[in-house]
Amino acid sequence: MIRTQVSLTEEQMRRLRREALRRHMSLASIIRDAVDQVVPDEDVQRRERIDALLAVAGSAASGTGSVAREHDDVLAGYRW
Amino acid sequence: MTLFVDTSGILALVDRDDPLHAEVVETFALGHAEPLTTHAYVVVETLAVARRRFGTGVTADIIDRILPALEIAPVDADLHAVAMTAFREAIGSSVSLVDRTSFAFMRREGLDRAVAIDADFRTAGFVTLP
Repeated sequence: MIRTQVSLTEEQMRRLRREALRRHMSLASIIRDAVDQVVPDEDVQRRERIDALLAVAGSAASGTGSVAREHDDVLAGYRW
Repeated sequence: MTLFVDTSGILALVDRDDPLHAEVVETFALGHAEPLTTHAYVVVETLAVARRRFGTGVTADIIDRILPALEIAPVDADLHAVAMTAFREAIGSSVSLVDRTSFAFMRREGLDRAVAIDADFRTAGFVTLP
């Protein structure tokens, strides 16, 4: 953990304390959660999106197995 | 290093009957560590083929689950012009305008690897995965 110092308005501090009490969490935890929401970890987001992508792998069954190779032929003669 | 994704890669990813399906799935898993990118013409082509051959459900999966994992670049006027010129100069070739756009895009972006089951990419000097 990296220690840092931030200045908050009295109103922000009041809201922060109230939220910490409501969630039974420390002020630091609430701030860390807020940082994650405002500045999401791009690596985590990418991994989650790839997992979603992989979850639908194999959702189609062409029967021929040739659609990827012959996709230009699929389009020929088809109004798209 | 960013990986380029071709239409053939996406179609082989969803088609469990494709002979290279398992290898293509492993290749897309590289996206956990490396950005995957493509361009708008590939999206147009992929959705046209998918709806025609796989139906609306799989096409919706591609839109909802696969495309959000890719960085999709628009095809701007310069890229379109370069691709169109290359296509015009080799108009008798079997290489499509979409592939010409992909080659121009990869060269412009400095990409050398494509998730593709398409020999044209290798002929154009790119490395294809799987």
